[in-house]
Amino acid sequence: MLKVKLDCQFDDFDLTVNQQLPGDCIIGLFGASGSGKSRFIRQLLGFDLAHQKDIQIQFEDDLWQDSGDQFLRPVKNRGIGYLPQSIDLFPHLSVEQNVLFGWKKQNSKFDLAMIKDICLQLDIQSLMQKKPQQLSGGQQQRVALARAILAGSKILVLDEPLSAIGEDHKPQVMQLLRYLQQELHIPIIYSSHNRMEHAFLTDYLVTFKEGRIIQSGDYESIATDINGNFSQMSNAINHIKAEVVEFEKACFVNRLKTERHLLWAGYRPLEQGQFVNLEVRAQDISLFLSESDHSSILNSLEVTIVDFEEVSRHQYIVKLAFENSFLIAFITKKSFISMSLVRNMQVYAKFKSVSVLPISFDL
Amino acid sequence: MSDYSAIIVTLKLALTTGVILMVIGMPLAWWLARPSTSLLKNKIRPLIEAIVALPLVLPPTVLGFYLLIAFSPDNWLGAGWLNITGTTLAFSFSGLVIGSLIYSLPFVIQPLQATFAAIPQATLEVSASLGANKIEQFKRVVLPLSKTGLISAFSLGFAHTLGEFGVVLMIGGNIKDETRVVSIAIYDHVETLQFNDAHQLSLILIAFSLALLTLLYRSKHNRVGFY
Repeated sequence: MLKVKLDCQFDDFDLTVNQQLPGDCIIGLFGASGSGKSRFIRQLLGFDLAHQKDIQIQFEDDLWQDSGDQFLRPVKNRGIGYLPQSIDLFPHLSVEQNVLFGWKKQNSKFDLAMIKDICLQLDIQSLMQKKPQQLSGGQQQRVALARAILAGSKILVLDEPLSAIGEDHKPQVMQLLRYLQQELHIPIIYSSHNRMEHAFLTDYLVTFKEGRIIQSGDYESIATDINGNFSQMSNAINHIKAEVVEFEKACFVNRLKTERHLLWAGYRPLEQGQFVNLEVRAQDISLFLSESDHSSILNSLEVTIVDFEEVSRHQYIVKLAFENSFLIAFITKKSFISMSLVRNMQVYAKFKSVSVLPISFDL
Repeated sequence: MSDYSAIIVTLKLALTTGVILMVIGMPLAWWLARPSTSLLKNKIRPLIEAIVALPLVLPPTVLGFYLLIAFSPDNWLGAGWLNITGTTLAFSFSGLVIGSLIYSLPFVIQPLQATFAAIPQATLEVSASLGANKIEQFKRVVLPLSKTGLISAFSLGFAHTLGEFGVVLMIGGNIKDETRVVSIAIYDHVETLQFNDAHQLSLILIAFSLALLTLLYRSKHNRVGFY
């Protein structure tokens, strides 16, 4: 459990937080640029002292900071593995020396074999003798991530850890973070404004706006809470887990199935029997009152309206029960009224734009 | 040969000055270079920087004049020195060192300050988060990142002291094996119309300084590999 009470003053906005964060899971910080995520993270490390008016941080049984008693545990004694947004590898050291900078053989949970394995997972094992300035941005970030992981004995604090990492490495890196959390049972706090990353990684979501936390709770409930800021943003997404039935060669599309529905997605053949995650933007879902049979839209799901909310003068957000989970959809106020939608009504959610995520994860 | 002694005195003076300036210059330059939120520091920093830069603009005679006054046993510096060592500072090698420290100060502080200022705050923060205390941060991060700057600071301080003339003339005089440096010896040779000797010493000084500066600039351009 991490208890954080902050009252900090910056030139552009104040950071005011009073929050308890769970101890054994991945905590995702979400919010626009300049919403306070990085400043919050820097406070966890005991930086920017001059901006603090009042602060109290306690991690498990360790008091980190208490301005009431003027107590400050230096960052080196907090057991934090920190990845700054600016990456900041040491330019005078090789990749290997960077990775091992904070690693102390005697009291580390990692032995050399595990370190090798982590470097393999991060695909940096071949870069060990290079200097940071010879690496690409994504490579640098993966090296810095390894460095943070090895130093984090009690908690990992990662500021935008995936921002520079290319799509080809992202799934593996996210899986590594998941795996480490489950193995080490330490909290991982990371920030990102990428919704797909949160859908895969985040157990406990915290959303920031103008220096304040406006939503916090387990990811599932926040992602489908239509009264909350997170789902009301126009880029909200849904995830549907589905099993690949077959690749229809004639039409170059995969047929997939959920518990009671068939779906079509992706023009690249997927492996039969594989479970994949489909991503559907809330903006791309249309509602139909009946299953009209002739339409170019392939995907049609039988759903029940659970709840709805007016999000703007022209738009409604609708929460739909789909099999054992929920979907959210944006529709215009005009359609909402003309269709006379009400709660518990059965409708059909149709969409043609679906992306198959490169990673599988449990929803 | 008296010119040989002048060369030895000059080298000894430049080396002593360079080493002492590095020792006192590093903490001062660090203090000047690193950003701070302390109001007091931000207020007095420009003044300190100006004082450090003064020897760049003042004629050496002004420095020498006031040093001579300070060295007099009537003043605390001269009197204190007399009490401790039993000798006077004026016209002594120690006096020359003090003069050179002030005279060459900006040549050491300014490159040090520039090199320290170039180390990103985030790099130090990361090293702290990775468990490094202040001393380890200095050894493992600051020193290796400042290597070029340290070399230039020392070389410039050393080279500038080699060419010192005005201050030495004011506070050191022309005592063989004690305060007679190369520049004074050359002046002496010219005054007494011994142009051959003047040529010899001048050419040695030019060659040595040129070699030193060339080495310095080469190390600046060959950064590949450590920065």
